[in-house]
Amino acid sequence: MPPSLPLEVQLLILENAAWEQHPTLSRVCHTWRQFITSPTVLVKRYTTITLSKYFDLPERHFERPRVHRLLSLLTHLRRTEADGDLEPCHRRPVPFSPVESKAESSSAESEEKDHMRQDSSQYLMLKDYIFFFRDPVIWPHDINIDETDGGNHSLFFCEKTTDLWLIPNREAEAVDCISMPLGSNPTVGEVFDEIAEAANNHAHDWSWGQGWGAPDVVKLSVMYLSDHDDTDEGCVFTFLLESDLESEAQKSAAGGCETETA
Amino acid sequence: MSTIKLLSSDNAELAVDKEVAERSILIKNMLEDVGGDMSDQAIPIPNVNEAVLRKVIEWCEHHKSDPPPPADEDSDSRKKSTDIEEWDQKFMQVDQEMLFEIILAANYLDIKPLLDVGCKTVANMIKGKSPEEIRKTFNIQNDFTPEEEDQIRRENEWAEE
Repeated sequence: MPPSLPLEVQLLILENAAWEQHPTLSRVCHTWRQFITSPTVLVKRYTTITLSKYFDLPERHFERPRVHRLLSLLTHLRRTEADGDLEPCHRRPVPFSPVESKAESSSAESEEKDHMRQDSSQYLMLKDYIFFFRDPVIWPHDINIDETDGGNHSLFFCEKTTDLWLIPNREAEAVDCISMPLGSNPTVGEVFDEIAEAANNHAHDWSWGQGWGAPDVVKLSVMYLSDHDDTDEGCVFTFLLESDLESEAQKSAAGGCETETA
Repeated sequence: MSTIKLLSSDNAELAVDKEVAERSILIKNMLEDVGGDMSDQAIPIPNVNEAVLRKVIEWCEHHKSDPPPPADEDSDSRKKSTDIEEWDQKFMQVDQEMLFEIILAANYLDIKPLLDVGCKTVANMIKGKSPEEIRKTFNIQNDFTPEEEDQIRRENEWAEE
């Protein structure tokens, strides 16, 4: 029987646990649950994003805000079986398998590969991550409302199929954007609600006829911006409709990457 | 290089270089308190048996030239579960009982880098385990009431809300 570890050591282990483990760890006992929801551990669910700068902006406006990791993990939209609505989800990465000739493969190996192919098409649905839905999208301490510019910071969630960083005219892109109130810091759940609602209401209108690739592809981009001096800074996350899976799998095989985070 | 002796809980006397032993802040402070001269007397380590003490000394010898850990308790480097050195990964390939004993020894002897490696190893070890399996691993009682468990279950049913 292994010795029991004192509580302070157990908490050190929790600090070192991967953020995806937090929902499970919170269900072990009261003390663990309390610690997992404390700021010490909460910060591990955030990643620092790299911002693009159109103009020189004082550091005080954007100190490399940390964004919830779930936003970079859930990169696809998928129709639910229940009602056919679209919701963000995560598709498991295509497993690596070495190239070999069919003659060298045993039937057992073929079955294994078939299983892997089948598994690679599975999704981790949003319900696996409900635990994180009460977390704010941006790490709370990173939102420093600056009195001198009126605190005019905001989160915008825009749908488009090109990189927002390359678009200098935000107004043109903001027509159908998902926006949150100025200065607010919505929860992850609120953002995904907005994304799902926008996808279900507007997906058929998005980007078609604008020369942005196939009509069954939708990318949702998340932009963190400020209106200060009409300058923008943003980070980009992408969401794809599941009908684009085939081409995405080809891109993955070629070393493509869908999500742009740091 | 001076050598000191450590006395394990099961009365085994182990000779170790002073520089290596001083990876333990507890031993380092003890040596400072007695003026650094413990050449004729073994330092008792009552909470650590010989097998575990040998493992701890092995780790300290390998890491004797490492720079001191950052003073900043919030340093990210202490909290990433994936960045375990290859040598440390192999070192920690022991059964769970020994792993926990090493962690307890590192905690008692105040060897923070070893404690961190141990905690990271355990954090990786419990990946994919259910709450019940984790409770068994840590010998923890489930103190949630049925009502609380029901509430936690509901938290995971957003799709049905």
